[in-house]
Amino acid sequence: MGGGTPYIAVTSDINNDDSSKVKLLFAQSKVYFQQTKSASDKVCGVLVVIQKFLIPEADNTNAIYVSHVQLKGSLNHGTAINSFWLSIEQIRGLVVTWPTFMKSHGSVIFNMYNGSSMGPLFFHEDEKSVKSKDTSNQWGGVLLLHWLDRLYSIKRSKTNFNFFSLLPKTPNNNTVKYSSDTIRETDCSGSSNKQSLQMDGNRTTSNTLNKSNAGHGSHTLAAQLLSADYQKKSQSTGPFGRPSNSTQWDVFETFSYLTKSVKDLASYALEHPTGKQVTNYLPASLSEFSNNFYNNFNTNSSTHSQGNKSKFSKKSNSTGASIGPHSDSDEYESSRVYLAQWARQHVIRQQEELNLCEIENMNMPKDQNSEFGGSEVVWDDLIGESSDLDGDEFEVIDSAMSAKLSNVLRTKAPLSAETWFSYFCKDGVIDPEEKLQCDKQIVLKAIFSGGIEDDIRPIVWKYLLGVYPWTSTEKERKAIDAANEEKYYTYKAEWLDNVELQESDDFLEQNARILKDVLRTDRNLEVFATDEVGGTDESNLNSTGFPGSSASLEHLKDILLTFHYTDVPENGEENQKLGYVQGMSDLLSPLYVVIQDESSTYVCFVNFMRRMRRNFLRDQSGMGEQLETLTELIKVFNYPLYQHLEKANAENMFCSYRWLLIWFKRELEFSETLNLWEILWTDYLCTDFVILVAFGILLRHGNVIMDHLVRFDEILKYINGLNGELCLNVMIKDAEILFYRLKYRIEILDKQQKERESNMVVEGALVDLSLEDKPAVANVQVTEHKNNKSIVVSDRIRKLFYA
Amino acid sequence: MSSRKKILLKIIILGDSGVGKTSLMNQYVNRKFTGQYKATIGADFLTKEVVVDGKLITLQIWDTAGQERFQSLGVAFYRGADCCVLCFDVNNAKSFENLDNWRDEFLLQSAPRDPDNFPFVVLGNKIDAEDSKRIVSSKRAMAWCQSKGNIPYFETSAKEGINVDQAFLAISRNAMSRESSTEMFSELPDPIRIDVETNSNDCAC
Ligand SMILES: Nc1nc2c(ncn2[C@@H]2O[C@H](COP(=O)(O)OP(=O)(O)OP(=O)(O)O)[C@@H](O)[C@H]2O)c(=O)[nH]1
Ligand SMILES: [Mg+2]
Repeated sequence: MGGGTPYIAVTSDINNDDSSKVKLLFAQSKVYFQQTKSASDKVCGVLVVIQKFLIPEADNTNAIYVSHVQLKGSLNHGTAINSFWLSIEQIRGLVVTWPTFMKSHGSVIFNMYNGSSMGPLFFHEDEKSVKSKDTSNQWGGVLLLHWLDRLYSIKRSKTNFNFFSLLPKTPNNNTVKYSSDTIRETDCSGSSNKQSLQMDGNRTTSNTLNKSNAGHGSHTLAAQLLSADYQKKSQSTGPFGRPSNSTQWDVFETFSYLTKSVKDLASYALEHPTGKQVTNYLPASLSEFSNNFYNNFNTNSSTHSQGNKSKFSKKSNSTGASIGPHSDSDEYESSRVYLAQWARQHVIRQQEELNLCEIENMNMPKDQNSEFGGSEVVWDDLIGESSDLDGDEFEVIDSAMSAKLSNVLRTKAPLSAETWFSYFCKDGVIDPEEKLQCDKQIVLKAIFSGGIEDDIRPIVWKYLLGVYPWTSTEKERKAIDAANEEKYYTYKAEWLDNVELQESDDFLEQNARILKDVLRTDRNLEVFATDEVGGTDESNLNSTGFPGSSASLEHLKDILLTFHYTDVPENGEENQKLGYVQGMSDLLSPLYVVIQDESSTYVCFVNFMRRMRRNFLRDQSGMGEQLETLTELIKVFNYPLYQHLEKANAENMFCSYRWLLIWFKRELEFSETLNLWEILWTDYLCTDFVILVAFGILLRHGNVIMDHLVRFDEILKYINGLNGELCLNVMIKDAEILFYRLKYRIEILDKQQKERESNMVVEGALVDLSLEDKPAVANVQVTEHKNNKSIVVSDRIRKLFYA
Repeated sequence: MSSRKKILLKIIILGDSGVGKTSLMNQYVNRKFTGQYKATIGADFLTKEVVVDGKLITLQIWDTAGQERFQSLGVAFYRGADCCVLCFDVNNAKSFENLDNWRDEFLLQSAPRDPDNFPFVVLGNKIDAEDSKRIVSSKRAMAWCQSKGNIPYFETSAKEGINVDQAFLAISRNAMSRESSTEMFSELPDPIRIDVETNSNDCAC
């Protein structure tokens, strides 16, 4: 990495920047910036130090970049947000005012070479850290100094202790290097006791020293912060007046922290073929958040240190037992979500690359199509984490699997009208009865592999949703349509022409309830937008009950009302009549958009609801069941992620609720939703494929979640924020590959289990002798992940693969 | 060392589907009302930083689905709330009558330490609608609030932005009042655990 022009930036929206060429080095939340003299005019944001890569890999730039994410105080300006950004090279120095006992914040002012100044930026002290005597938490201003110190040489003025001048380091050393060596080195040195930590700190300091101008060793930041003068001053003024040793500890510890994500990045960058382009994956390891993360949230990962562990246990001792999301040891920290979203760019870019591969392969002539292209490694990576099995065995399985995986079906071109009609041909001639001439599996396979083209969607959907039997003739289909039409209008008349009902309170309530949701369903689509108002505002309703004139909205409402009054409980459903439930309008709208015709849409909807009704049961048992299946999948196939979610109280997977309830409708573009649904309807691999889709997404984002998010609410926020960030082709291909792999793994696990059981019989017999009242079987069912030997695959998971 | 607390307050907005919970939250946090909100599925939240009575606080405002079918899910989010906002639509009697249920359900599920004094705030929303549509009078709403231990009551319009700031200021204050009472508990010094302290020695030399 070479040096470039550094910048300081303050802006409202980091995403506006060309983030693909930006690397985040440091971030600090709750930085305040006062725009005018009025104290109420402060804005709050996140300050980040970024490195800009003007030309990837060649030239890069250091920058401080402050994102004001929220306007605070007087809100007259609406959401207007001000921003600025500056090159570090323009900065002559910083005026730092430390927090005191009386004042919870300190400030930093940037003085420019041109005589102007920027700021002050206020950094609030994290009070928790003071309270808990957690020494690794530092005031943000100092963290910033530390970071600048890595990039620039910082000298403290001898006359004004608040002034720090900023000088470029010698040309070759002015960027922080993240070679995997340094990372491993620091990582493991941070991992043992305080002795080695301190040694590491010394070494880091001396590195810094070497990098800075010769002869100025005593002026390294750490040393300056520790200078006697400073200590004298700080002891009387504020939180920096901790015993000098502990301050020193802070400095060293801060330097030695490098998170797993950095390590992952390094190895990823080295190992992955496209890794060199992934420049902006988050390395911000020295930030307050990652420190908090490791202190408060030990994930039991092998990369974590003993030292951290002892801290963690100390913390949990002092805070006592914690139950429920809110009583976690740490508070919700929006910066963590922010950082995770930053880190997510890496996942998203990877998805984009994969998607391009898919599209490219799709357009390639069939036989040359090598399915994977260059992306094989990445697909394989997806479940590489789940090493719950014995290492050796695992390798064997994986190489065996790789061979099998060359047969994945995704992603092919969507089913075209031409192909579709060819299915009705015999010897090149369309069957006179227009009856399907091939096995329906062939059709389903084609749809599963690539979806359906727009023009034939209406008819194919009717097959997929069971309106037309696969063996039907054109004549029969016509008859079916006619019968359905009659049926629908008969049903509809039952409530429409029933004056008594129409006047009942119940009807008025149901009508209002459904109307309210119809008015909030896909109004951005042209068919549901109305001429007068492009919104759902109820007060604009005209006499028909709809804004402007929209027959489509009326149709949606009528279909849902008809469904509400004619819905009958399914067998074995303990007479749970559903009626209309929120979310159903979301399920109806795509059907209506595709099918158009009111009565046909109704029939399709009724059939679709047959498989979806478990999502809407009064007792929520159907949703509960699916979420539990998802939890179990994670537990069995990615135990580290499971542990992480469990610690965050997020293992109930409520964060995926919306995904499963309405099949990703709120996360995907409308056209993608159509595509996903038709693929799911094929049931080509299994009936609950949607759960595997969800699992795949969680795996893709698993590392980001594990690296950055520690609380239930943070994870929820992150997951909710994935709408618009998912890539359909990748989602489905991930799920498909997971299906093959996991199914295979289950076979292996079952085989192992059988072997164990036969061994157990012998062991059990011995046990029985000593502990007469405990049946030997009990031993078999104990699931002990620690010894990696006996993972029990529940029936629930099994059902997913062998339904 | 001082024990100033970083203040993050958790606010839960409850009420029947369609009363305008999502709209109110967005009006308050993002200063906007659009006709494009979708029915809430699951739960989401927004955060906002405000200065209340000279104190900087972060509000974490939770918006859950109003449809009763989803209530069993909502309860997962109730826990740890500092204030509960009960919303109804002044043009919809049922939504007002349901406040009792929402309140009871909340108290039952969140199991706050001191249920009798748990801070609630009631919002009667959509007051921008024509007078002729209005069904629940201020008097009636206020009477209910009084009967439940003087719950503060505000009449709002998420659409026009009427009274939304005032309501949320009261909500923040109420949440803070509770926070300060919890602080009293948490300020009791932790017992010094000698074994623990020696293990994680802060002293580096
Ligand atoms: N006239 C008027 N309409 C409003 C107001 N607030 C919300 N609405 C409308 O009422 C409908 C429901 O608003 P939402 O905010 O989505 O309601 P909600 O309480 O979040 O509903 P659920 O998510 O289903 O629980 C929408 O069509 C809004 O446009 C208001 O203050 N005045
Ligand atoms: Mg809502």
